[in-house]
Amino acid sequence: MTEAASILFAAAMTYCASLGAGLMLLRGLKLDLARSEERFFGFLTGAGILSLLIFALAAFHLAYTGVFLALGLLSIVASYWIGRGGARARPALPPIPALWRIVFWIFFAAYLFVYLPNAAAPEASADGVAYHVGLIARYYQLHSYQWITTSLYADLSQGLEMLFLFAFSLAAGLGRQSAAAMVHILFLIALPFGMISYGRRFGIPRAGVAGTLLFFMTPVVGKSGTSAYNDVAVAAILFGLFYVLELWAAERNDRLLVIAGLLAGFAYAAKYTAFVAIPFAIGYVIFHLWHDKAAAIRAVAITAACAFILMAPWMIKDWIVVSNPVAPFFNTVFRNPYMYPLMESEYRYTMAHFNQVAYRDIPMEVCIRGYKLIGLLGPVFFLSPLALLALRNRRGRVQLLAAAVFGVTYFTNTETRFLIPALPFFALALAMAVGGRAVALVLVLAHALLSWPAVTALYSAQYAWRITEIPWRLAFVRTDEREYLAKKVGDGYEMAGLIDAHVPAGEKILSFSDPLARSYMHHDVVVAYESAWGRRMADAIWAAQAESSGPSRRVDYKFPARAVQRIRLVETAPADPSRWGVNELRFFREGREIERNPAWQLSAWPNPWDVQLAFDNNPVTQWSSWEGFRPGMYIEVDFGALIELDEVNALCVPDECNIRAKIEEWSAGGWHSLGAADRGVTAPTPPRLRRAAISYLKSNGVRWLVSGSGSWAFRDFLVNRAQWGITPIAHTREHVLYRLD
Amino acid sequence: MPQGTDPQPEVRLLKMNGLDAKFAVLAGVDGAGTGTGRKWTDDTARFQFRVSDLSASDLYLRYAVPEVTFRQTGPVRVSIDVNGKPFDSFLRTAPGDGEFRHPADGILAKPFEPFIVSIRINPPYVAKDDNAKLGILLDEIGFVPRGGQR
Repeated sequence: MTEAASILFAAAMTYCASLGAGLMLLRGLKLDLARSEERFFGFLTGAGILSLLIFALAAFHLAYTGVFLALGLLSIVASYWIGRGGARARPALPPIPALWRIVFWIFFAAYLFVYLPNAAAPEASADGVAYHVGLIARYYQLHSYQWITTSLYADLSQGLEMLFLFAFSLAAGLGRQSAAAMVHILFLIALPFGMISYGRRFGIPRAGVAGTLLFFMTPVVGKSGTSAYNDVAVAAILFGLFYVLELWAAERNDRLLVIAGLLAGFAYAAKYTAFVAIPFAIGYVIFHLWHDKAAAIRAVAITAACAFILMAPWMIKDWIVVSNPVAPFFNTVFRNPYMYPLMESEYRYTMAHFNQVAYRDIPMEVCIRGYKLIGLLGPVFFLSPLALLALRNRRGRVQLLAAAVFGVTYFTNTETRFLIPALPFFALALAMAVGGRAVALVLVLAHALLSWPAVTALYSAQYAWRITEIPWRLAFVRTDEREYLAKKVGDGYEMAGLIDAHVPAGEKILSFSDPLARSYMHHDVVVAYESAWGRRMADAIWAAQAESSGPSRRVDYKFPARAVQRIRLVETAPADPSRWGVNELRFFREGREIERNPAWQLSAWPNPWDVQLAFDNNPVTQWSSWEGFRPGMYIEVDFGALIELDEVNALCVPDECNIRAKIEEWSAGGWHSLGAADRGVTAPTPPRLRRAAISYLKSNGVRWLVSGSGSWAFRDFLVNRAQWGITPIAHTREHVLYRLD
Repeated sequence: MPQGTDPQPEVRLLKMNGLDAKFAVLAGVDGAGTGTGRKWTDDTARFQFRVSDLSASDLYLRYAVPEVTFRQTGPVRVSIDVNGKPFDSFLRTAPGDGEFRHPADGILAKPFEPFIVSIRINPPYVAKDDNAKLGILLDEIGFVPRGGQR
C-alpha cells in the first residue's frame, strides 16, 4: 500500500507542479481564458516548463528526490501565492447539452476505471522498460544524465522522460516505474477536457464530446496512455498547440503565441516526430498575417523563440555528447563516430516498413488485427473516409488539415501508435462529419462497445497490443508484482535479474538481443544494434562466424618499386548503395611486409574514426565507409618519411571489397596514380577468428555477452563456445549470459 | 591474433534442462534447454552428438516412467537408433526411475563429426486432452565412461 500511495503521490505532485508552473505563466501573460482552458493550457505549458527545469537540474547533477520535491512544492506554493486575491472574471464557455454531458461522464468514467489500474500496475511495456524508464532509472542512479554514446534511444529528445524522472524519484520500490506511466496517463486524462473545451469554445459542443470519446476510448490510445510511452502526451501537446493557435486567430492576442511557441517546442522535446509542430505553428501565423509583414515577423519571432527555449536543450545535449544536434538522424550532415549513416538508413527503413506490412494492409492491421503494427484503433475507424465530409465547413477543414500535418510523420514509423498524435483532430472531424445527434451517439456507443478489452479480444489478433485486464488489486494493493513482471515482460525480466545476480558492478555487457528490462536492473547493457560502437562489436562477431562475411578476399596491387611518403587507396567505381570496407591494408617491398609504425598517420574518408581498424592486425575488424560507396572515398597513410614500396594488399570481405579502387601517391602537390596492376585472390581464412573477435570485444572493455534466441549469433555461441572462448554463466528460455574467458 | 588451433566443440552428454539441449535436441522434447528437471519426450525424439571418441564409453539414458502413464501404457519398449540404424532396445516393465547403459564402442563416429541418436517409445501415452503422444520423462542421454558412476 505504501508503494501504491507513493505512486499516487508522485503522479499528483507531477500534475500539481506542472499546473502550478503553467498557471503562473498564464497569469503573467494576463490571458483571457475560461477556467477549463486555463487548466488545460496551464498543465501542458507547465509540464514543458517543469521538464526544462528538471533537465537543468540533472545537468547540474541535482537529480535528487529532495530537490525535485522542493521544486514541486515551490511551484505549487508560488502558483497559489500569485493566484490569490479573489476570483477574476473569466469568459464562460457555452454549456454542453445535458445528454452529451451524461454520455461523456458515463464512458469517461468507465474507461478510466480500466485505464487507471493499468497505468499504476508495474510497468511492463517493451519500450518503457527498455529506455523510456530504463534510461531515466540510470539517470536517477547517477543524479544526472549518463554520458551515453552507445544507444540511439539516449539521443532522442526526452522531454516527457524528464517528467518521468521527477515522478520516478518521488515514488518507492517498483512503484517508481509505475509512476512514470502515471505521468503519461495525466495527459490522457487532461486531453479530453481540452478537446471538450475546444468544442464548447468554437460552437461544436456535441461533436466535441463525440470526438473526445472516439479518441479516449480507442484501444491503442488506452494502451499507450497507460504505459511509460509518450504518444498520448504528444497528442495532448499538439492539440493544445492547435487550440491556442485557433484562439490567437480569433483574438489576435500575441501573448497567446508565447503558449503556442512553448507547446511547439515541447512537442519536439517530447518526441522527434512531433517536430512538425514548429513549421505548423509558424505556417499558421504566417497564413493569418499574410498581408501584414511586420506583424507576421513579430508573431513568427515570438513563436520561434519560445519554441527554441524547449527545443534547444536537447539539441545542445546531443551536440555535446554525440556531435549531432538531431541525433540519431542526419548523420551524413552531422558526421560523428557514434552512429553510422548506413545504420540510420537501416533504422529508418525498418521503422517505415514496420514488420514489412504493405501499405494496403495497414487499414486492416490498425483497425482490426493490432498485432503486426502493434496496437489497434478499432473497427469504427473503418469509417474514416466519412471524415472528409467535415470539409464542408471551416472548422472541419482546419481539423483535417491539422490531422494531415501531424499525421504526415506516420510514414516514418508505421506502428499504430504513431497515428495517435493526429487522432484527436481526426476524431473531431469524424464526429463533425456524421453531424446528426443520433448518428454521433450510435458511433460513440459502437466504439465504446468495440473498444472494451473483453470485446477487442474477440476480433483482434491473439497477441495484439491492447489492454487485456483491469488489475486493480495488483496496481493498488501491489501483490505479486514480480510474478506479474515475469509474465508480462517475459524472459528479458528474468535475464535482467540473472545479470544483476552474476555480473559484478560496473562491468560492460553487450547484448545481441533486445534491450532487456533495463529499468529493472542495475547494470548497463549495450545493445549491439543501437550504436556504431555496438555495431563494430557485432560485425567482428559476424565476420568470425559467417563464412560469407569473413575476410576471405585479398586484392594485391603491384607496381614498380618507388619511394613514397603519402599513399592512399581510393575508390573509383561508380556510386553504389553497398558499403566499401577494408579489414587490413598492408605494404610490401620485394615480398616482405613493411612493419607498421606508430608514427604513421592514418586517415580515411568517410568514417575517419575507424581507420585504425584496417591496421590493427585483427582480420575481423575493418574500416568501412558505412554508407554507399562512391568515387573519391579513400584510406590514406602518411609514413612520415619516404619508404620504398612495390606492393599493397587490401584484405576484405568479398561483398564489400570493390576492386575498382586504385593506389595513388602524393607528389608534386597532388594525388597521382601509381598505375598499379591489381589482382583479386581468395585469401585463406585466418585461423581462430572467433577468438580474434572476442579479443576485440575484450579490448573494448566487454566482459559479458547476452545472446537471445532470436539473434543470428545465438546458435553459434552455444555450439562453438569453446572456440569463442566464452563460458555460459546463466540462461533462461530465450537468453544466455556468457562471461568472456 | 590468437595463435594455435581452435578447440573442437564436443557434445557428449545432454541434460534435458541444460544449455546444450537448446541446440542438440533436434526434435521431440518440448522445452529442452530450459527450466529445471527432466522433460517429457514425444513418442520419438532425436539428439545430435559430437564426440572425440567413444572407446570405453556407454550410451547412457536416465529417465522415468511415471505411474500415471504406466497405468495406461503398461510395459513400454524404448528403441534406440544411431544414424537411422537400430542400436539397441529395452523393455521397461514397471513405473519409476530408470537408467540404461549399453557399450558404445561399436558406433562408427568420426572425431567431432555430428551423429544422430533417436529414441522411439512404444506404446506412447496418449493424453486425453489433446491426443499428444508422450514417451518417457528424460533426464539425460549421451555417452559416459564405462564403469563410471552417474
